[in-house]
Amino acid sequence: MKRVATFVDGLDEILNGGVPAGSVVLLTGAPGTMKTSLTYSILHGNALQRTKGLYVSLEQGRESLVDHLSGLGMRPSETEGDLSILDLATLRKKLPGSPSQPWMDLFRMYAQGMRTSFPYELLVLDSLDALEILAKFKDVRRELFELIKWLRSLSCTTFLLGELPANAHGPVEAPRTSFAKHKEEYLADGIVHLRMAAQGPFGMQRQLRVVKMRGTRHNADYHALVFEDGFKVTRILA
Amino acid sequence: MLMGGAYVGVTEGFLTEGWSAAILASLIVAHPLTAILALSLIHGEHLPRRRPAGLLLLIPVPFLLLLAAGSGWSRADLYAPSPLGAFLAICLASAVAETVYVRMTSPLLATDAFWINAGLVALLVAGPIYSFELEALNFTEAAGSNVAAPFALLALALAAFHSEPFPAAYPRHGRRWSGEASVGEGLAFVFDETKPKYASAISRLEASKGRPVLVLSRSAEPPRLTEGRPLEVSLIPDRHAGLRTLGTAAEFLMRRPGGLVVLEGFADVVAIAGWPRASDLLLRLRQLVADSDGTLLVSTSRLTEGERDELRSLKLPWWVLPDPGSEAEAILVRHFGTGAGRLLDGFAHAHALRREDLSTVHVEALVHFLHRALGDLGRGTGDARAVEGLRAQVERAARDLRSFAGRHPAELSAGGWPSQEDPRPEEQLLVRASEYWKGKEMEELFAAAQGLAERGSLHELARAVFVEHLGDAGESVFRSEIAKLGKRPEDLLARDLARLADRAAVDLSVMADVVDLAPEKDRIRRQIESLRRGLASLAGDDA
Repeated sequence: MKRVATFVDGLDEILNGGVPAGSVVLLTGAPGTMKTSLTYSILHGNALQRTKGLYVSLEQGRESLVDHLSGLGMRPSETEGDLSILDLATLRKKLPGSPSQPWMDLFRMYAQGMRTSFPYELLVLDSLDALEILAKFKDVRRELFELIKWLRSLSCTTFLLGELPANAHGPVEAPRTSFAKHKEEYLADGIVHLRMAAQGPFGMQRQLRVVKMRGTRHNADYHALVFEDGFKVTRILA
Repeated sequence: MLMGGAYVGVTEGFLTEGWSAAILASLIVAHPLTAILALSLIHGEHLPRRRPAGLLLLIPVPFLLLLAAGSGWSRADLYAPSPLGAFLAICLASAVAETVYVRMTSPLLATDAFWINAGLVALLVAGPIYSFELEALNFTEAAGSNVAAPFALLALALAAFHSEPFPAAYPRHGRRWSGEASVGEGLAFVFDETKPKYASAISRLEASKGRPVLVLSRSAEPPRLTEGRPLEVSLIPDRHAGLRTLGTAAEFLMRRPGGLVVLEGFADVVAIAGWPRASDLLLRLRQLVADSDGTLLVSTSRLTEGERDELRSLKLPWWVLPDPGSEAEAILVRHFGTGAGRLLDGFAHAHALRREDLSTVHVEALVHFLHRALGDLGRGTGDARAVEGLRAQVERAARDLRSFAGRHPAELSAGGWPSQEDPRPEEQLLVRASEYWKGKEMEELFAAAQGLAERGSLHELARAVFVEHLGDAGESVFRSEIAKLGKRPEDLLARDLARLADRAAVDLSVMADVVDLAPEKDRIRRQIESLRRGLASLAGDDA
């Protein structure tokens, strides 16, 4: 089975070599868990190896996103055109009558159209929640099913970013039984959960867990997600 | 096969001699069954379901089996001058006699009757001769076998293959349909119409009531069975089309007794099979529906005058029916004067129909079209009284159109069609027209209808340009851009196209800006420019 390396220290070991190519992976977490940075770093690492990737941002404009990622040492210019950012967030502001636009169709039009001139193998949609709101899903489960089916037909590895609510009752999250709002975890091929966990009375730690990854014997424990000159995933020390 | 298997078994020693009796019994049963099979192939639509007379041939079988056991008959006595031999000869001879009769009287079944006859005669002749030869050669183990059996089997198989029903998703076997039919059950009717419009209307009406309906035509869509819709089966133009039509109807009515069979493509059957076979087919279908409480509708569409005359000679109930399109025009002429044909032209154009395809199913859409045309006129004219007068007239026309569409073919066949009534507009109405409309508003109504038709097709063309350039998103983008113009798609006019093109080009140019790859930006810009040119060209064509 062909796998897509994440270029994140420790994560490929957890995934038994990487994400199975062609999978649709749901990456969920509360705000601040570095979903955007982690997925961009995966695209960035692959682009440096000449594997093309497309990052579709519906929330953050390109300029702001590039600033933020350059601050983390991931400069788009380093990828020599193998990583593209599709700035639909700006389109939302500039396109007249934006709320009435067919956003789902537009997203599909771009994603499909760009493959002809830019044959990307990795796709990130940031975020599924924004698309759901913009596209005004009527029957959410059915439309998500159609979307994921369509993404699979693109034959590229897709990461869908999903927002989970921040814990309102304290820093430590209760064990989760669901990682999505509309049961899309059943539709996706893989689920990666990011969370903030308390470390002692004052400390917080980002943690990552591969909840599900079809076709992979993966480690399902929570691991620490650390950013030190690049992302690393390590065992959690007591 | 049974004889061969038993022979090998007994010779090799794993079957006992007692099997000889079993073989004799099977041979005794095989002969009446062969005769029944031959009769079924000829009268398959009746046997064995409705006319089990052929099964009477099986009655002597138990007695003969007892007699054979008591008298110690063996297989060597099968074709000998004995009661057993006489029974077998009677079985086959009765089937031969029937095939000879059918060959002489039925053009439809003549060919197959010949082959069945040949197979049976071969069995009759070869059985005793072969038996005699076996006895002369002292090869008694094979006694009772018939060298003509393979040939007879082939001949019967050929006849069965010729009458194979056309491929279709036939319904499962069910009970007789017990609802109230719109056309008489157990009867066959001829619908005399230029196109099978009323035949189609009746088939849809009956199917909507849950009655099983089979429609046979050349142009049928790929066969599928949907609840509440007729089963449409396509007539395949081969040498045995007539026989296969009979087989198809028999298969359908055997599964769903009480069903309706609509032979829309009777003219095609006549063209393919010839008149003698086609008329024989009708007579057999009439018998079939009578036996199964079904109904047969035959459309005369596309028959020549000579064929119509021949059909009349069959003395089937004959309903002469009007053309709904012509009658609708007659109603409109009565209400709007001789220029009313333009209303129908506009309606047909707007709905991508040919005038000759207009049917009663289009009446509601036609009424809606007239109201829309009137609505447009109301927005454009300053004479409220004129519009009010036209509105009353449109209401009257709508009432007459609906009344006509609701008439049953049986009632229409008695006459009283709108086109047979006095074509002169009502004199009272003429007075009012001169008083209120000054003669020109009627022309405006026609022009409004023409405009509606153009718009209808225009928005479809514009939509196609968007979809062509933007894929699936084109449909939504088109609707979104039209909405921004403050219009509904069907209200799009040629003069709007230039604005639509410019607006779409400006809006969509933003779409290129959000991409950070130069080749992709160029591709999107080219796409937008191409879309703009497409719309501009459409505006030019329309102008």
